[in-house]
Amino acid sequence: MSAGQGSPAPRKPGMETAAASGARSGAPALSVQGLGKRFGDRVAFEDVSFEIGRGEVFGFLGPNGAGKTTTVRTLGTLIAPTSGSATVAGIPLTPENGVEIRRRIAIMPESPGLYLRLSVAENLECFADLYETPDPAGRIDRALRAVGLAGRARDACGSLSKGLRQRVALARALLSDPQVLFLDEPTTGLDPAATRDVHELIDGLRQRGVTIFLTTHRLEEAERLCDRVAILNTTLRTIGRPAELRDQLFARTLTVRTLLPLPDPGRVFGGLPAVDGWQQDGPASYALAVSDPITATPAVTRALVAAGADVLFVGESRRSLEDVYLQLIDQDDQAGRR
Amino acid sequence: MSMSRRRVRAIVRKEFREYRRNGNIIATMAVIPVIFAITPLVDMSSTAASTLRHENLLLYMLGIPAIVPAIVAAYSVAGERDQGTLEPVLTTPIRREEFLLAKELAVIVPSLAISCLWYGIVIACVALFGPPAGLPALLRAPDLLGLLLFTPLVAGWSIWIGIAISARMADVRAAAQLGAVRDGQLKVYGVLSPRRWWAAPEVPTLDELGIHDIDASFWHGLWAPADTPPEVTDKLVAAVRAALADPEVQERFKKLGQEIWPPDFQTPEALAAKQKAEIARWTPVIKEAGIKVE
Repeated sequence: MSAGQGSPAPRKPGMETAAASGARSGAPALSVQGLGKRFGDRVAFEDVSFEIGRGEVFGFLGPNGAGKTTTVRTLGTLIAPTSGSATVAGIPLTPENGVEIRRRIAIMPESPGLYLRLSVAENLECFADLYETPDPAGRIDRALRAVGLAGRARDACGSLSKGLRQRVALARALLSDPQVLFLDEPTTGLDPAATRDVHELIDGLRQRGVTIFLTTHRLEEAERLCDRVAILNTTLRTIGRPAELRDQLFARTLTVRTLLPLPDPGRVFGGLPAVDGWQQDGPASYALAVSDPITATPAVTRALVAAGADVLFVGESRRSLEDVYLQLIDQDDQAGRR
Repeated sequence: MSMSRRRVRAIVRKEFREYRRNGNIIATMAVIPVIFAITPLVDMSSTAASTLRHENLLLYMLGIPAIVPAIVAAYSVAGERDQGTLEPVLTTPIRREEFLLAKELAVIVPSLAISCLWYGIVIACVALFGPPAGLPALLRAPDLLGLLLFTPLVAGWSIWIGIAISARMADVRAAAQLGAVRDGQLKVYGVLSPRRWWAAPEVPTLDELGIHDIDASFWHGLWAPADTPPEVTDKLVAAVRAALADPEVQERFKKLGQEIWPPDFQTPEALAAKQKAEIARWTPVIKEAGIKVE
């Protein structure tokens, strides 16, 4: 794994996956070892390894062109990998297993890809037959109700808004009751309300125990929805729970704001054992490196009051997944420039 | 290998539903047969007694199975690509053979039906309204056998050409037209530009055919306001030249059926000269024909 250079080193990808999936039942839903795909000289992605437990929502993050969609297409048997191996929904990824794998999974591609001249129900009917589902009418009805489109079955897909088309595509992906559901950038190009709807739908699926493989470049989306995330930039850069990744990459910090600048901040913060270091990041604002915010926060507050400062705010500043992501991608960019 | 009837049927039914709502396909299916039925009907109505002006009149109508499937297939593949539906379909358990078979069936079944319908219409017209000797002259055994044998063959061959062409072309209309050309159904006499067109290199230019000084190809240029400082235009020219030299841009242009000016024409001077020449050429034509902007 090329995740080693630069500090701080992320945990070795793949190590904690067994523990995470162990909490869920049985064999992993998806298991990938050293998978790679090249197009001629161009590497789409390489040396990608991870495991996803059943019922897990797994976020696959990365910048545009990082190989996310190619990974989904490879795992969905649309294109063959050039190296490595994988097991999808319990079946080894080989060309002859393509039909068997596709029976057990569903992929919602980035663009909905609906037959625009056909009605919503006609689109779903076609796919229910392609999956050879029993009781197609019942399945279609249930899938449409799951995405809140029960009243629109007769509408032509061409007349629907982008958000509604995305929902039809999601209904289509649910038709076959897939064991693993791949969602490729499900909210790209949607407005905030439509995005929230899709998020709620994914939340609902998670509660029903569907394993979801979600690619996205929206980090707040991954942070909200995913049990674990992996960051891909041609190679897998890191993998873990969003909170773990934050803690791995960043020291915890307290932010302190006072009404007036402290006359001698060094004297206030310097003597506190809970504070490892400090720096001023505004006229009356300070960032304190701490190892344990729970003990540091009261101590810092007491010291400030003792020094006669008017305290406006003392609190832990939370690094978001976005900070983790940007840190890793910036490292890659710098490594690329060197 | 076992094929799933249900999956094949699903695609065929979907295709039929799409045809019904696609004006272009309806028009193709309605208009093309009429064109090929005209020759036999006109010939028959103007024929006296037992002599036919053309032999093997029925075989003219093989044009219907030759041209209808190519255009319908081109629309069907290009439509699939434009709507981005190929990927979702191929991620279902469908096998490629099932998908191709369904696509072929969906084109060939209506094409054959339309062909037979029009054979019937022409024969019925001759029987009802034609001269007494018309029907036996039309319905000769070898012709009928030929029609029966060649209709499916020609249609199958036509589909493959339609699919092959439309898979290559990005634009649906260019695909349909070129499909017909490659098929030999439309005879292209020449291209209206001084050089051969990359997309159909076998088609000669008019110049090569001895018709000189006809250059009516469309061209594009970039203009800036008259008082733009030279350093700005220099920058723009450099950027455009760099973009046009990019293989990806060239590939995209190619797919749109566009040709890029050779590098020594990518200058403001060349564009000014081209513009002047075009004005000089077309002004008399416009004046003479009384063309006005509406």
